[in-house]
Amino acid sequence: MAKKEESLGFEAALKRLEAIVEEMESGEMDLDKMIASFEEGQRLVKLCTAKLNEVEQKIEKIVKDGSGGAAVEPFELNAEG
Amino acid sequence: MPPLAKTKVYSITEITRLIRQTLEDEVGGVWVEGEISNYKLYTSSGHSYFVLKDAGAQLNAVLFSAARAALPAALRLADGVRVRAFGEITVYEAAGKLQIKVAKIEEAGLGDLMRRFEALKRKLQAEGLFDASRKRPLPRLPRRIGIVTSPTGAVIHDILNVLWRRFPNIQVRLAPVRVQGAGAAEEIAEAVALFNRVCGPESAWPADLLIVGRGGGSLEDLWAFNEEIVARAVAASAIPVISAVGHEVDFSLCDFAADLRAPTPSAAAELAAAPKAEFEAQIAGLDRALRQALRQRAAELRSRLAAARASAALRQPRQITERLAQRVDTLGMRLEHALRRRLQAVRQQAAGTFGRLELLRERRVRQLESRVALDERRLTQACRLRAERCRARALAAERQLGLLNPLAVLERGYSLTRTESGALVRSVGDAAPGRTLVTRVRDGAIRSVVEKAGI
Repeated sequence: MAKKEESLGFEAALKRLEAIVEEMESGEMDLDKMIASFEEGQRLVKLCTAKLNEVEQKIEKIVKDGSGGAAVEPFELNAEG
Repeated sequence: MPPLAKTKVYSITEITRLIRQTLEDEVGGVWVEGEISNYKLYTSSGHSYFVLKDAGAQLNAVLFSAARAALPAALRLADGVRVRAFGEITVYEAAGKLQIKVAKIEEAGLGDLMRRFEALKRKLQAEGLFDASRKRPLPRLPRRIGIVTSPTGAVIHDILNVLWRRFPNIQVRLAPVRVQGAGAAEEIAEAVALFNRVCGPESAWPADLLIVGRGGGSLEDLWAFNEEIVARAVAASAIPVISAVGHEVDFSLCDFAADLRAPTPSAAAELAAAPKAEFEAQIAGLDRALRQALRQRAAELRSRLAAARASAALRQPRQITERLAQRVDTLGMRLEHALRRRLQAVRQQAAGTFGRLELLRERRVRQLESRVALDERRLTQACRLRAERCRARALAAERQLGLLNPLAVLERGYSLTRTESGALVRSVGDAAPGRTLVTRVRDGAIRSVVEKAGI
């Protein structure tokens, strides 16, 4: 279960989390399932929060190289402006 | 040539005026089309002067400030621009120059462009390129955004400002392109394709979203974004595209083909990235909801458990035990009752026996009592007899005793003297002078003081 969550993207994790909350709020769930859902929800909360902070702010330039591929270079905003 | 004498000779002014009037009358207002050259704007007067020309001829043109002010701002008047101008053909008499006084002017070919635009739009629409069903939802949290725009100018700055202000954790790759002029459309289309080739989902830098756009400009400036090649590249992009061609009112074909259209590049950035704080609040809210749901469920289950405990189903065994208990109680009561009855019987029996016993006892007591009474009487009689006898003997003894009593002597005239302390005065020595003596006679006592003793 935990492994499956790891591979979820932010969006999927958030959706799953929303679904869990909705399901839990709708009532008719037995307590064992409820506790399992709660624990899964807690892991998803952690995962989503981690995903929010995952990527560093960065800007690069992508240009075609001579051989049909692409080269990624640093981009200096003001140097080129 | 007619002889000079017979012919009217015009002054230059007269003939120029005649030509002007004839032109104005015969030609009047016309539309002409040509290319602007030698464009000059006199800033002091606000009038502009230029030449309209085509391959075979040229015509001077003047655009007075009042007419210029009425022109659309987007209109470019510059050398090389092909225009259509409406105005009156006239002669500037002072210079002897044929000219057109321009009242209206528009870029030539605009009508063609609009016709081409409409035709292309209809064609692509018919192909389903703009269908709403093709539009994909944008990712809620894009972490890698590809941007296709000019590397210079305000647009890239604006986009980055907005993106990073709202959400600092976003990576951006820019594909620098020309956004107007010859070849711009090809560069834009190629950049979109490049992102799809290099930044696909399986790549090391999977782009979540593309922003394709430029800042505002005239319809012709924006024209690259109306080219078929751009519209097709955007429609074909596997990565969702926000189109932001800086025109508030008109839509470009790129806008139609994109998944989402933004009026400006800044607006595109806003549509792309929701504020991070919003996500954080949403996640915190869900976290709270999770806990709340669990708490509520637990409370609900607790109360259901309590209700179940009190329910008929679980009460059944208790009813059974209650019934049993009742039976036990009943049996107990019956037992007690029986016991009590038996006890009573025994007691009654005992009482009967006891009564008889009592009767016997009472009879015996009465026998004994009567005997005792008899004995008593006899005893009393005997006692009384004996008492009489004793009394008689006592009286005799008393009489005898009276004779011996010193006080009885007093009856016969004798007296008895004692000191105050009660000692009997037997001799003279007992009565010292000055001593008080008490003398007892038959009917009382006399108190006296000894004057002299031993007379």
